[in-house]
Formats: sequence, C-alpha cells, structure tokens
Amino acid sequence: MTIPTTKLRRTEQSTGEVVDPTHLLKQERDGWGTRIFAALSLFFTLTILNALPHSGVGAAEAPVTYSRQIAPIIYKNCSGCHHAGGSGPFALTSYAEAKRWASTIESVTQSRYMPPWLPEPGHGDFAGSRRMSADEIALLKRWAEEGAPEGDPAEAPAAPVYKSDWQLGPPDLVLEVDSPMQVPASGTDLFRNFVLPFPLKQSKWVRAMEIKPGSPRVVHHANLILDRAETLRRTHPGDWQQGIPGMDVVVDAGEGFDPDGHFLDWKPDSSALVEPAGMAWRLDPGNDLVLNMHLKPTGKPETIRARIGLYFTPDAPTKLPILVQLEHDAALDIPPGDANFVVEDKLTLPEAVDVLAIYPHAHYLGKRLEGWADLPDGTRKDLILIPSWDIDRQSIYRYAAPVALPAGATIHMRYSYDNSAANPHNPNSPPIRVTSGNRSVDEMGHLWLQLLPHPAPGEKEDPREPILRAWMENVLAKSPSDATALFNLASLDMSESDYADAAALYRQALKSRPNDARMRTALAAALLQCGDEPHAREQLLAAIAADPTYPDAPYNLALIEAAANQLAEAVKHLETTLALEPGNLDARHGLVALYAAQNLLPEAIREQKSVLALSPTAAEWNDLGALLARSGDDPAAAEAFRRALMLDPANAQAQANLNRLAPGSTRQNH
Amino acid sequence: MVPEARAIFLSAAMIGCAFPLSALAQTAPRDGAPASPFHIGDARAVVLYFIASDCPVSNRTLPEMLRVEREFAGRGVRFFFVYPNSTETPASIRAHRAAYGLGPGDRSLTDPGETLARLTGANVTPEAAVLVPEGKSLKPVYAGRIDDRYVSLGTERPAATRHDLEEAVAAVLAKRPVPPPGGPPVGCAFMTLSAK
Repeated sequence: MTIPTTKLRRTEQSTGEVVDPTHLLKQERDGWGTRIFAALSLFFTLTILNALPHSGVGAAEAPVTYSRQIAPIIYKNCSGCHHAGGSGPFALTSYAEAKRWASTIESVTQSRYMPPWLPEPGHGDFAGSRRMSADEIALLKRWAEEGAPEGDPAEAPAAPVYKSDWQLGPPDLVLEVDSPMQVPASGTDLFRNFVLPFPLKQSKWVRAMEIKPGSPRVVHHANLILDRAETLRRTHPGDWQQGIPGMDVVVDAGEGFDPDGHFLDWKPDSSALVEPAGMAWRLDPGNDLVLNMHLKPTGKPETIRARIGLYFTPDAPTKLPILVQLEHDAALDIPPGDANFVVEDKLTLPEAVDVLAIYPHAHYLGKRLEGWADLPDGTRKDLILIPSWDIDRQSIYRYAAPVALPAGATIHMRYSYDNSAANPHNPNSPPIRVTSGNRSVDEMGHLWLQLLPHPAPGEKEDPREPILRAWMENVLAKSPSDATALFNLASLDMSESDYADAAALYRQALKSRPNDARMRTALAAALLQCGDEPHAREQLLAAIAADPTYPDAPYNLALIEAAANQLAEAVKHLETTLALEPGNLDARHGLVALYAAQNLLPEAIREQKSVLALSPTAAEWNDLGALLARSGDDPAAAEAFRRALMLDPANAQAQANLNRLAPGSTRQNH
Repeated sequence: MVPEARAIFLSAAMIGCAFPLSALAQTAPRDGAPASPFHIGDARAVVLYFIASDCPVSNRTLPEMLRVEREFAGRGVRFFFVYPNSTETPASIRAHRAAYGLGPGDRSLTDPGETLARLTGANVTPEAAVLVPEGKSLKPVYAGRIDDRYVSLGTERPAATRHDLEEAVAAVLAKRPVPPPGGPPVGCAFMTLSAK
C-alpha cells in the first residue's frame, strides 16, 4: 500500500554546508589570528600616537602604504570577489588596481556597503564573517586620504591566486542548464528558476557541490532547491527549459518522510560547498535540482548558463538535520506609507537541537530582521540581527560553532517593514498596499533555520518528526485551514499509526482542496487502515474523477480489488497506473503477480520482461526463470536462472531453481 | 594628485561660466587617436556623459543614457562619451564602446588635460553635463546625475523616479530655466581628480 507520508511546503530555501570539525578548527584559528592582528594593530597605532607630537605642524606620521598595511587588508577582505574572472566588477589584486579605486574603497568601507555583510556583531557568531574591523576601515581611509602611496613593493605580500576550474577537482557529475539565458542590458532585477534533472539511474549521496553560475557578475546569489517530485517540470511543461520566473519556489516534497535538511547556495565569494562528515545529502533518480537565481542587469546584454558540479560519497549520512521555517505571511498586509510594519512568529522546540545555520529572507520592504531564542531558564540567546536589510546582500549564515538550544526553548522572529516612499528599495512608487507573494513587488518574511535534533535517550522515532510536528502545529495556530500543514500532520499521524486522527485531518484539508487527488488517496489509505474499505474505495474513485492523471489512486484501487479477489478489475487499474507511470515497478510487479495468480503465464512473462528492462537484477531474472519454468519452457528458464547467477553467483534461490529443472534443459545453448 | 582647493573652486565656478569651443577641440584623442576637432555643428545643445569602462554603476546606467539620447533624436542635441580616467586605453575604450553599443568612435573622448572635467565640474562616473552654444563658446547649464536610481553606493531604487538629465535637456530645448539636479551623482570617483 502506498501511504503518502510527509510533504513539506518549501519556499525560497537554500543551502548547506554545515560545521565540520576541520572547518571549526580553521574558524578558531582564523578567529585567533584576527584578534592577534587587531591587538597588534592597536598597539602599533598607540605606539605611533605616543611617539609623535600632536601639535607639530608638518610632523608626518609614518605613512600608511599599500605594501605594508593595505595589501593584506585588501587581499583578505576584497580580492575573494575582486579578481579577474571573479564576481566583483573590477579586480583588486595589485597596487595599480587598488590605487585606481582608492577613494571608492574609502567611501564604501566607511558606509560598510563593502565588504557585504549584514549581521550586526554580537548577535550570533558566524563562520566566514566578512565584517571588517574598525581599525582596518580607518587604515583604508588614511591611506586614500594620503594619496594612496605604494611604499616599498618588496614589503607587500604575494597577491592571492584564483583558479577558474573546479575547486575540488573534476566533479563526479556535472549538470548544465538546458539552454542559455539572455539577460537584458537594463531593467529591474530578474529572479529565475532553472531546472536541472538528475540524470543517473541510481541514488547518490552528495558530499560536496560547486555551483558555477555562468557569469558571476550578473548573478547576485543563487539558492539550490531539491525538487523530489518534478513539481516545476509538471507545472511548467512548456517553458521549464527556459527558466521559470519567481523569487521563491514551492515544490512538492514527494513521497516518504524526507524533510529538507541542507542549505545549498551560491554567493559571490563562495567556493565549493563541502558537507561535514556524516551529513551527505541524497539525490534519487527522477529528482530535479532547481537553481533559483537573482540576476542583475549589467548595462549590456549578457548570456548565462549555470553548471553544477557534484561530488559523491558511498557513505550514507549519520546525522540528519532539518530545515524549519518561522513566518507569518498571512499577517503581511502592509498599508502604503507605513514605515514600521511588524511581523512576528515563534516556535517552541519539543527537543534539544543544535542550530547550525540561519537564513533570514524578506523582499524589498524588509527593514530590520531579528531572530532569537528564549530559553526555559528565562535567558535570551540572540541568533541574528540585521539592522538594515538589503536583499541584494542576502545570505545564508552558518554558525562558527553549533548553537545548542535545550528542549522547551522558543525561537522568535521579528521583522519590520518600510512601505514608505522614503524607502529607496520600495518597488512601488508611489507606495501601495503590499501582501505576501512570489513577485519582487510582493513581500515575504521567512526565517529558516537548520537544526540538528538531539533525540532524547531511548527515543525511537526519527528525531526530526517531533520538530516537524511542532512546526506544522505552529502553522495551524496561525492559519487553521492550511492544507499543507494539515496534510503533513496527518502524515505524521499515519507514521505513528494514529489512523483515525490522520483521516480527520485529511478530511479537514480536503475542505479547502476538494480536487486534490493525492489528499483523497491519502485519506483512502487512512480509512483502509481503519478498516473502512467502502469509504476508502469511494475516496479513490473521487480522486480518479478529480485528477485522472494521478497514478497512485488507481494503484491503490487495484490493491483493494486484488484483496477482494476481483483480479480482472485489479489488472485494469494497474494498467491505468502504468499508462500514467510506466516506470512504476511496484505496479508492474503487481501485474506480474495478478497474471500469475490467474495462470495467465504469457502475460505474466511479458510483464516480467518489462520489469527486467527497468531493473535487471538477479532477483528479477530468477522470477522470470520461475515463470518460464511454470510455462514449461525449461531451456529459457535455465537461461534466465543462469543470468541471475551471472549477476549474483551467490544467489541460492536461482541455483536451487536451476538444479530443480529437468537435467536435459540445463545444458547451455551456445 | 590635484590639490583639493581646485576641485572646490571648480564646483563653485562651474554653472554659468562659458568656455570657448576651442577648449573642446583640445580634448581628444578619441579612442586614443590623435587629437582632432570636436564637431558640434549646429547643435542646439551638447550632452557630455562622463563614463568609465570599469565602473559598474556607470555601466549599469549606460542603457538609460542611450535612452535619453534616443529621446532627443533629431532635435539638435549632440551626445558625447567622455572617458576621464587616465587608466583607460584606446583598446579599453574600443572594447567598451562595442560591448555597450555606444556608436561611432568620434563620440568617445578622453580628457587627458582634465579640461572637460574642470570646466563642467564633473568628478564621478556616471555624470552628465549639458552645454549650450553661446557665440563662439559653450556654456554649461547642467552638471550632475543622470537620474535618481542610485541613492548612494549600494542603495538603489528598482527604477528611477526622477530623470534629471532628461528634464534639463527638455528645458534647454523649450528655452525654460534648467532645473538643477535633485541630488548628487552616485558612482565611481575619477582617478584623475581628488574625490574631495
């Protein structure tokens, strides 16, 4: 029985490297390095101040030179993007380049426009912080004001070297966007979603990934979303190859309990995204990677074609993080002119977690974005504060060390919005009423967190389930008729064998989605578990009527008919299923079994050969052999058993079957 | 390095101070070619666009500059692109002109003597100056931003709400007083002039 379980609604989601131990050590070292540098530079400044007369006209301080003080600052803070082929619009890897931009460097560091880094210090300690120290900014200003002198080139450190090939070496698999996209010379920013189907026939664990966006100067940022159910390809059959417009993506989570756990992203200075040991993510045949890109016109037409390099590992993950979302989009109804519209949400954690990463997201009206946790002992732990939001500089922030939160901690988000004409980012001039939505003129308020749950001792269920339940109950508290939350909660009830509760929730969800075939099929599954076959059958027929292209409804109906010994009816429904979904192995197996049960051996053999075309395994060859033997074709049966043994010499069943055949038929035909 | 005082003086002295056409004739080479006369023919107004091949704000504003030019096509306004930075080379200008569709090379000027920058007071790319013939001279009547899309470096409107340059040219053609720009130009400071 196919029991659809949890489906998660996903939006603008994003990424995921988390904190692996080596990363942590590196961060700590970097941290110490920075502190030592800052202390030294303070010492240096004090020494100079003490040594020099303050009043002396013409008393020159030791000049700040590129070679001595500025090159190290620029190489550390700027060159990562500003190098030939990088995402920065010009290179900053030599004295001549730095001198040309000296006054701009001064002004953009004074305003902290550069380097791009939104979080306020002291409200979350993040890996890879790009925030420049006040000392560094002061040195840049002095250097520019003093005429940007070079100093002794021999003192300058070697400029960093950037390579344009894959950072981790040749990937195991490279995916490329189907057709290049032309970005016009001018106009507002574009948000486009490109679908990259995963082409392999077997599942893979991904340990690392690198996104090459095509033209880094056009791409502002990109988030990668896993579409397990071909959602975008199904909803945009005619145009998915060209890329689908939209700032945020909603995809179906497919079958099975498989909540997303990884932030996968590209930002201007990001390198390959390497997952910590034990935290690989899975790709299955039929999955799509959806690359959600924010594109900025450069002034001339540009062509982009993104590629994604994937690196596999044979090791299944041992740690299963989950992404959860705080939001209150239903409350986003911002009057024109309102300069401080506030939206809040909170979520109490049912179990202890480590917060690994955080991703605040709003559109152009977002003003001040804040996330924190209230702990059961009354203390407050700040998770992030962005005092001046700018979507152009949005990012996923990974903590330098996991932030441990105990069970019972409540995570809060509080976002404010500025829908006045004084907000230069306001997409509407004059301002208009703004509600939630996917377009850049709509608004959003999401706080995504990557949580690694710590299961209580002796806990048997997947530790992500209680968190998902708390999240969905929180959604329902805000929006009682949210069909996705009802569906997900019902699916959790199903996995806990609370079938009556699940059925009630599915019925409630159907009130707002009466034509949702999957919802009806899920309700049928719950009713069947409750022993209510007549109503299950009724729901499945209604599902087929609502959406004749949904294959699970006839499949489940076939199972009911088969159990009632209505074999011909069951065959008919399985054939319907397979017409809709030719690769459905379960349905094909079912058909083989039904034909065999009716002794329709030629049909059973035909279907088993179809199974083998999809899944040429030793077990399937053995089954074909068994059917052929039953039909009296011993030589063909022997050949099938031998094929099974070629694939799996230790297959005892195929060997026993082969031995059982009449001696004359086991001779090999050459 | 230019002394600070000169830039301040130039800013204050800019508007309303006519300068002889012969000054413009010295401002080539175009695309780095040898100097040659700066032909304005019988133009009713001249627009100078100060741009830089490596300045992202300047580049992102080029489509708007070309739009303004199209807006006044056939109405006696001549447009020139001035590359004020000494870091530009004939090759960089040629490549830039081709990539952004800026038209023939005789509209691309360099400003090695800083003549145009000094006489208009421009010190940022992108920035525009509007000049009108007055006898044998050209008199600057507008200098400043193209529009208000950029509020500061890093703060950008989704679209401009005020088209300062377009309004200035329209005023010149209508013989109305030219409104001053509504805010400072935003972009990349010239390398050749002090930003102060």
